[in-house]
Amino acid sequence: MVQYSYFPGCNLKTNAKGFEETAIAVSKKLNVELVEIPNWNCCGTVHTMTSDNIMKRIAPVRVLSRSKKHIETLEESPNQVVTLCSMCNSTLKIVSKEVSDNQDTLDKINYQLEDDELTYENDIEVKHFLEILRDSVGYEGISKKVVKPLKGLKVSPYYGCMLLHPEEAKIDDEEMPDVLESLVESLGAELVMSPLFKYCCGSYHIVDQENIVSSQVEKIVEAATRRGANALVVACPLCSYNIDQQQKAMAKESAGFKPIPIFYFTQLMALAMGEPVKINHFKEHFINPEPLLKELGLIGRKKTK
Amino acid sequence: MSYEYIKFGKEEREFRQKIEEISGENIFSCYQCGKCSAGCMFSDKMDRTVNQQILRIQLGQKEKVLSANTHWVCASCLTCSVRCPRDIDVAAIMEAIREYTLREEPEKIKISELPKKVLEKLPNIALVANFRKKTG
Amino acid sequence: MKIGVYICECGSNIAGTVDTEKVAQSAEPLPKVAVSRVYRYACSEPGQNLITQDIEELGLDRVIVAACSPSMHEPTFRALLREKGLNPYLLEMVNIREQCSWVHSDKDQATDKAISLLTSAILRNTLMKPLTPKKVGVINKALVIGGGIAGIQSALDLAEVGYQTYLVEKTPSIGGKMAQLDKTFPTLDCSACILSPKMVDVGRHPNITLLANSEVIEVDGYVGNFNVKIRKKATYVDPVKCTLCDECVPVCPVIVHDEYNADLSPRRAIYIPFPQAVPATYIIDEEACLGIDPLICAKCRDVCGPDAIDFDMKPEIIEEEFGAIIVATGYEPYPIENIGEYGYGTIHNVISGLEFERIISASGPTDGVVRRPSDGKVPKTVVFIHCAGSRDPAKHLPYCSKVCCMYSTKHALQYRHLVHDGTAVNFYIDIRTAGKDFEEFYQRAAEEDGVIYIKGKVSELIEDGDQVLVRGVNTLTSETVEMHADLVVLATGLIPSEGTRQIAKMLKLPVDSTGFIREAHPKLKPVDTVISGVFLAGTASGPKDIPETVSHASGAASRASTILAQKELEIEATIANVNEILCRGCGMCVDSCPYSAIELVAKNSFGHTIKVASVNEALCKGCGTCSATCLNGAINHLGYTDSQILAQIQALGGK
Repeated sequence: MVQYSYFPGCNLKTNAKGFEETAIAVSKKLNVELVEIPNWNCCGTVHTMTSDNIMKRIAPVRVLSRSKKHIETLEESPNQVVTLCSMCNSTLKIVSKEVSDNQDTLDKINYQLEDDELTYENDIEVKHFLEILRDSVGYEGISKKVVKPLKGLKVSPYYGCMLLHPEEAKIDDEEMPDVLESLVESLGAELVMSPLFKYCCGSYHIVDQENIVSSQVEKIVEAATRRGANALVVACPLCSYNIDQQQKAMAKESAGFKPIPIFYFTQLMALAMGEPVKINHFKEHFINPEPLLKELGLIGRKKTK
Repeated sequence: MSYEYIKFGKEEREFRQKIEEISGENIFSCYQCGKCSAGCMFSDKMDRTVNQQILRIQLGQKEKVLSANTHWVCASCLTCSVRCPRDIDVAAIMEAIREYTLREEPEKIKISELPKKVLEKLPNIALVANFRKKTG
Repeated sequence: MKIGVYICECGSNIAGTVDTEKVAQSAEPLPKVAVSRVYRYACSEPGQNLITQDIEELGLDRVIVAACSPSMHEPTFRALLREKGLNPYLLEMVNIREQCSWVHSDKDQATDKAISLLTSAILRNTLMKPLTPKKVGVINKALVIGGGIAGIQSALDLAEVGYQTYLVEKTPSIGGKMAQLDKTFPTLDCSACILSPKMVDVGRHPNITLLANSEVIEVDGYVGNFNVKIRKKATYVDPVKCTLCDECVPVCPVIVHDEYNADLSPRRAIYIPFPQAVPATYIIDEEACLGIDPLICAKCRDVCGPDAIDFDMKPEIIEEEFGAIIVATGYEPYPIENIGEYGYGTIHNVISGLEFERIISASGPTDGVVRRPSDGKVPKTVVFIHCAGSRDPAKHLPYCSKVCCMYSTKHALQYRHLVHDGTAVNFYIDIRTAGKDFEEFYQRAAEEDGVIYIKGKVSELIEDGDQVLVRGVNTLTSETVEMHADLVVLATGLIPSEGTRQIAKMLKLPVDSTGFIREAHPKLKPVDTVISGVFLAGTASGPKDIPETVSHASGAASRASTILAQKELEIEATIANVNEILCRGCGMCVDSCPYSAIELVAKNSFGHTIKVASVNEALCKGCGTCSATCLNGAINHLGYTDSQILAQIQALGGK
């Protein structure tokens, strides 16, 4: 079993528990162990695009530094820190590129880190879990572990922005990605392509400009359902929250609106690999996927009355 | 008002240079093809196009740049940056306009005034991201 | 007599609108027609083989091809007939594409028209006689008119091949407009530095006769045999004796504008045009000099050590024969004073692109310091207005002058290099950078040198104190804009030079609506003119930048070589022919001929001297104007005789 230093980020412990638990479960099936970094801190999302703000870069560098220390305690661990959240992935990748390009910035950040007796040597690679699945495990290896192909699930991949932007952080071609598509197919689900696969959900505007998010989500869901999708697959807890929660609000407002459930890619994997349903934490979803999954016979009917 | 008196004085130059300094981008790289605005999925909510903001920075029109809502509607999705034919980090320029404002008035959003309900129900990723973008 | 008829489908170009089978069948019953066939592409190799085979097997001696315009494939099929030992003038092309299928949509009507055209051609063809083209000798010498970079390049290329070449330049030195430029885009090469080696080569080349200060005044003759008269004006300074000591200049009491510096600096009546001038000699400006008369003033002669000044020098007329002529007479800037709203000529701080070129030049009137001509101050804000005259079909020039986007960008960039705290603003309609490294140059001007571009045309310029108020628009923000500039530079458009207009008239070269000389074909014959033996180099045929001009000029030299290399030339056989018995010597044909190919010659007729028309076979283009003009029907067009035309009309009218 290969051990990876794993950086969860805040949301995986709060409103995306299903994401984390399913990821840890399926990775074990695939001979991968995600070992959580002890005493990790917030990555400092979203990454600053200023050229002159050192403060906003300290948190992500500290994550890299702690991960490095963590890796030294693991066995047979590649020099990589793995993330699940695409915003964490983006932030850490960008900062890692920035400090590798600019020793001066790194020195200044390290000066700040010294209080914590940490220095970063710019010697660690940031990987999103999807990259591990694609490049180290392989889709074939995933297919082999599928015990319950997701027949009848028509899944539209929604990348959001941060898996594909910017250049430094992207895990796939930014205009023609195929990692989620290949994964969905290897799980036996039907693939539904939507042109709005990276149409921004409105992100952090949910805090004070909800109208922006709601109009974005409406378009994203409409584009997918019009093409026959009955589910979306995502890799970002914020995309997931925005789309999920807004759909619920829209369904309340308009009877004609048909919401579709949202899955993290690891949830689909867990379902297909026959993991217990409860690790998905479907109860926390705004649009509960269970009725659809039951209808398709993908989860047991035991609980239905 | 569709009139502007163009001048290239100290004030204009300093504003342009500050935006260039914060963003780390060369404002003059922009040749106004408009692809950033064309691909912006929030442009329907902006009162000025993204390329127009850049052009106005070139001309040092500080008041008009800052009075637009464009950079506050921007959600940093970076589609503009990855598609710019001149390799300009357009989103970084939007960030620089935000930062320019926040360094003068650090609270675009008053955290203390946000309802407790909002703070409790929203995922921390949304709050952290929002506060990092909208406070100085 | 056996005629073979071939109807080409040209894919669906013809067959789409014309029932080609029906057309072929219509020819079968006609007299002398031995075979009538349809083929998909008659011009293709299998198509030609089909005709060849029929000639061999059926013994055809005449061929009719109903296909595209004869300007496309007549040479192809004539060559085929010649190869098979037939007279190529017994080929007839019937245009059922450009003049039929392409311009009609009703298939029945188009088919009927094609049948009519084919029938008339067959009836005409039966009356055609074999013709033999004449041959004329070739003078292996070339004339290049105009000594700018185009003429220089053409002359050097021809001289290198080994042809004796005359280069005639109107002004005292070769070099042209390029010699006035400071730097060239997009490489920022020093213009004079890259030009002067070529100028020196012209001066030294044993195969080049350089006639500066000279003008072509008369051209006669035809391809291979042009007779040319050149007037060489007097310079009043013996170039061999002149040592370029400059003693004569300070003593000259006359001060006039210096053309080389765009009139921004003074010079004397005795002068050298510029330091690198070729031929390197001083000359006396006839018009400015107090009088070419030593009794009035002879100060220059008095101080001239080598005794080089000769007031008795007279203009010479040089007569020479040439096989080919290259017209490289160039452009001149559009008179921007015509653009009233820009106030050039009345607002002091509005200047032309060429003036700015001299101002930024190290050899210019301000020694390379950017100073405005009005008060000598260094301008801190310079506005460059693109398309000053160009792209304005309503009042000025309809066309894009091609070089202004780039030279304005170059000016702005150079200005920023020279005045670090200055602001350079370009008002443009579109930025056109279609040339190698042009786009990169434009991007560099903006990115590295902070040159500002505002999309929008300036409406007017208003003098405001010692500044200019620019009233323009920013179409990208949809705002009218105003700004004050210390100096405004108009990106002047290009028009044909006076020399180009004169030479076009003299050589009867057709010009397009803008006055530039028309190419024989805009795409496939870009250096040929409609007059064989006369070629175009550089901007005489339209705006061009320097690299394009140089390649155009080399192209012209190469095309001229194809004539100069011949010992003799074949002349088209379908030309006018005078029946001297019918001719009454009225001379109407002489006046009607657009090519001056007919003259009246004396002839002894039964002891009397009478005048009859005589056609110069080399000059005649076979246009038929004389034949139609002649009241006595004395002029026949070989290949289009009256009887042949009447047969055609009969066939068309018989429908």
